Amino acid sequence: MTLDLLREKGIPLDRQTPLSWSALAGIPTSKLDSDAFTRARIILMNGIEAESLRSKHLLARPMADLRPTLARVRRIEQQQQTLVNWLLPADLSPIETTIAYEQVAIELTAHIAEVEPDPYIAQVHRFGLLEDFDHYYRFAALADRAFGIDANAIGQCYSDIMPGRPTIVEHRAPDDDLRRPYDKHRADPLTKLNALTLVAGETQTHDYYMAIGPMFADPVARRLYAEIASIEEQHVTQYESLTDPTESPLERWLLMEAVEVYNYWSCLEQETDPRIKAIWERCLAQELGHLQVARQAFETIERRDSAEVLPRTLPAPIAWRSHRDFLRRTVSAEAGLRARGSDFVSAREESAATRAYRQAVNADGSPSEAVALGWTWAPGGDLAQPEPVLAGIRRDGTNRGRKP
Amino acid sequence: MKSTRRPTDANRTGMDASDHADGMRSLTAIAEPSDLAREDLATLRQRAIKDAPATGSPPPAPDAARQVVLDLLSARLAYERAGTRLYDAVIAKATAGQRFAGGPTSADLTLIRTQEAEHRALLQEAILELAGDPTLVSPGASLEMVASLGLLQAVQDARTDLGECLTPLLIAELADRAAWASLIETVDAAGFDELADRLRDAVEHEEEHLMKVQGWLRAYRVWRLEGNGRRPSASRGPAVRQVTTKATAVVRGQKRKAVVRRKR
Repeated sequence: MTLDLLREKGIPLDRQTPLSWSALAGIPTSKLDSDAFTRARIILMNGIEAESLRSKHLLARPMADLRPTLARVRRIEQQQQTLVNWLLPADLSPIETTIAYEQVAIELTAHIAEVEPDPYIAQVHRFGLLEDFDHYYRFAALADRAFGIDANAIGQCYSDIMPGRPTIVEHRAPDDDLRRPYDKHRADPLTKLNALTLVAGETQTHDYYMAIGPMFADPVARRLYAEIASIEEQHVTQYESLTDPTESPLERWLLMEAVEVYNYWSCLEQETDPRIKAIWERCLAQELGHLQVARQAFETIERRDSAEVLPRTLPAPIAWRSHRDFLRRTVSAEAGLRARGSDFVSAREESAATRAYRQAVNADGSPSEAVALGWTWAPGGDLAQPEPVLAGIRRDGTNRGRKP
Repeated sequence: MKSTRRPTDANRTGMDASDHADGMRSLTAIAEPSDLAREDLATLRQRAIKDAPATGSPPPAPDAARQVVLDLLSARLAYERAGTRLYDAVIAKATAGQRFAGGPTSADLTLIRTQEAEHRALLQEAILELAGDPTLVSPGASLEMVASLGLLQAVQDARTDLGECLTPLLIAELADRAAWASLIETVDAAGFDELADRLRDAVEHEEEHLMKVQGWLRAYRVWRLEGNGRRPSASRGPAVRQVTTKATAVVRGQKRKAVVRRKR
């Protein structure tokens, strides 16, 4: 079943009622019992709502006439974000939440890279994917070595925990993070939905790491969060640069509402927890109402038909499943790729600016390398395994006197 | 109100340190409490507690006794994993050269760490013996993980020294000893006598750990009373390399003259 974006009206905005605090901050999901993909959907939808709010604030600043409408839509969206984000339970610690965030990045981006119709943009997605894949591994090493936590208890065996493109080489000069944008007239609607979804996901990951990074006491953790947060900012730059800069602000609003509809619909289609499914259904109906508001504003102000921008029907839903084989193939084929300008090149072709930047940030050593030195994932974590695995390096990361 | 410059490494949390303390004290005479609530904090909590489900499901087991034991073993396993990492963090302080008269050496701490890791292995074997899954996080384990986070946070902070780390270690060891004793009682009561016997070795270690930590803590307090151990606070730490621009030179008093001179 798919949705007809031009005919489905959802709940009209003026009939969308606020929820009480106890309904908003209600019963969370279970860290132990909920499926990892239920958690992943919760995390992504929080990011989508955060992006939706942020972009509507930016839209409102130069548009006085639209401010009342945008304020009314934002009020409901802020409630949606609260309803969704408060589904995360208190026993999901910041490091465990981080593991879950990276799992979202891996499985979502893998799906997007697989279905993206534009070959260059699919390459961009695979490029970003291998970097988030590496973050999952680095944070898993931190979880194990600093907290005695097995990241796989969060990942539930859906996602491999192993190096991707090493984080130490992900640091690039800003110009080497900018990609070629899609052409708004020729791009497949899915290309637009994919790019905006990833901008939302990566922005929230960046913001989350920036908020919680300083709360860690462990010096390696503090530095690792600083390091990986900087890559997430690079990723926001990358995915944002995929969007056509000539799209008008109202056109972008329309697309963002479509992104929300598409994502809630994808959640609804695959949710296994009936209580959470009801939340997705409620939010989808509300978003369809918001889409109508955006269409009306777009058609009134720009005097264009919203059918020029919106796909009539939605693409197949985001596949919330393990992408293990695709990931293993991609790691094996493309971990060695680097970026120069908007192109993907070999390691020796990197720009002088990127080399200089990387040398500066890694001048005092690399937290992402230090945390994972000699570490591979094994069931139950490092401590559950027999002692040394690599020559000279103990599994706890201390060196026995031999250089690795 | 006149502002007095205080040294940047003076503690500012107490009211006696503030020039604004009188203004703050005068507030208590005029401020009214909030009074619009239909229910108080305790009632709100009660309502939430009544509605709340369990944090998660217990480990699968053929009977209640085995399920309780598996949950407790999983809980102990989680705690020993965190405990091992707790000692890793304290060992790092000792390895970094921190010491005091009567305090632990890196080797002393490493011995305890090794024993905590052995206990973890013992618990893993016990879970497997009862046909459980040692990678499963039981509700009891999740609880231990949450409870131990503060202890880890306290010792992992690069600013807390070896002696200060003994306070969280004491909390950890007191809890560990009591929890092992309780675990063995429960395993015994559930009818797994042989397993209970094997687990008893760990309790002896935990007793030793507690005695050692208490002894080191005592020595640390004496050492501090003798005037040792004062270290500079954050404001004395290394700064980012200073960059002075024309604008900031004006703000920085000592540079103003140089700028003025150049203008002339």
